Amino acid sequence: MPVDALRVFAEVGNAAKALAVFSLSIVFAYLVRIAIERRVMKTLPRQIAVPLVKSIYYTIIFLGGVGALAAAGVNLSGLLVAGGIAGIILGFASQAVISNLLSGMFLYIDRPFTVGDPIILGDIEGIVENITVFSTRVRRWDGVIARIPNETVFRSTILNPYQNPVRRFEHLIVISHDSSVEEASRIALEVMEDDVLVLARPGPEVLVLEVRESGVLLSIRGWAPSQYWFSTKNRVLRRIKERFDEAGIRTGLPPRLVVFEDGHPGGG
Amino acid sequence: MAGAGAREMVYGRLDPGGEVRVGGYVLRISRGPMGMLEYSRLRDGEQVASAYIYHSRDVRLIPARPMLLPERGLASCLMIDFERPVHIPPFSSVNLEARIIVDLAVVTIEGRRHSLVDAFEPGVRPKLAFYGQGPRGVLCRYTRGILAREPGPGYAETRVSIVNNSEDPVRVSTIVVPLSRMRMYYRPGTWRARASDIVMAIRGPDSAVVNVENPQLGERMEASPLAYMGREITILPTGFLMEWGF
Repeated sequence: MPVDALRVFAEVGNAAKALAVFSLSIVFAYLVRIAIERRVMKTLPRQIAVPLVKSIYYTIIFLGGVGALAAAGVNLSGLLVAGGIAGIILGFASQAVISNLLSGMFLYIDRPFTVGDPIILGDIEGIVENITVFSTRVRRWDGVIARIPNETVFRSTILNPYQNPVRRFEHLIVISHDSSVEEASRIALEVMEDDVLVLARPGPEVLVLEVRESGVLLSIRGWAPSQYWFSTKNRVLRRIKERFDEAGIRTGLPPRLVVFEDGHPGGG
Repeated sequence: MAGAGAREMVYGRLDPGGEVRVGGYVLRISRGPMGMLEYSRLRDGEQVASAYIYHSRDVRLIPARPMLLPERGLASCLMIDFERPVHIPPFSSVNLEARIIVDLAVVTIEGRRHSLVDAFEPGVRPKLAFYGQGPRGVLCRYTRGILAREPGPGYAETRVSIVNNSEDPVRVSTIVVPLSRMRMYYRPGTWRARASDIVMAIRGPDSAVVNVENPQLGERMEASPLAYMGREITILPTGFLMEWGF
């Protein structure tokens, strides 16, 4: 048999092997995809599960393609070196992406909040609008949407004020030394007891926290249903201020010594 | 002036064209445009609630489970705080007649269907309380459980049975009742209202199961429509589990 014919046979054989390896890798990737989808789709949210499944699927096909090239007799040493360098570059470039992806998955497992929860995340306060594979979107109280990378969310201290059905509010008020602490406390308690959204149990309380140079520091505390916390806190403070004014209870002012340019002291 | 000629109201039908006084309010139903009835609730002459009622002739004032105020859907239980604690020896029981708060509701009734038009308090300020700990706790309507008093507007009689199944004497000062299972009954033309019986079974030193049962009704008592189906709380098949000691 001529040498050329043998070479052609060998090349056809290699091409057939390569085709078989690549076809098998596609079938294998497809089976793996179905198996993973069945498990993952039920446990992870769609926005995380779909990219995860796709990345596994295409990784298997890519490896199958590399195997097919090797089976076809292509020398892969150059490709591997180039791939290694590209991998390092891609690794550095996609570090943040992978970090956000993993953080998103961990956030899903940890579930510190869900869509619709109001949260306090560092300087950002608002309602969780959406949790995607790379970021969390929070609608701030002023209506602006904040997109926060999942890695930042995962590293931050997250406060979820609605997880508990009730929440305590507190107002710190300094009343002047010539006003009656007893009367101020009675008025503050009356206002809170009159408000339908300030809880009867745990009941409201007024504490004397400090006696300062400027006056007596009162802590006025009550509990309200979490979703009405802000409006209740605001209404109670406004009513207390009105009642204090009616009763002649003055809020304390810090003493100041003002020295005029001619050296005469004034103010007090 | 609104309310000057109003008659005192009792539970039952509200007829168009008149004014009735309930607590500090005056309820008025008049004929509105396009064949509708116009409902208004006034306080000191000022309208505080109003609604058009279309194609309904049966408008009633009823006692409702206390879960409509201060906001619908907030409270899922009723916390009864007794004016004095009740001491019960081991393996014994006590039956008490008490009165608890109700919300007043104006509903339209069409056959077996009904619709809530308005809900208000009859002078007793609605208050809330929290029972339990953290996210597992429940918001309750708060009421002082007053023993053996005649109910007036805004109150319903109820029979409270406390069974001490433990080996220790117990002191009961608070009962938390699931409102989703509670029913209200009233006698039209009177202020007489009755709530489901409350049964508290003390299981041990730190827990009890509270449930409600159908009461024995007197003559001419009618069941109030439920008026509001609130959020269901997680309760045991046998009742609401009260745990304490934390």
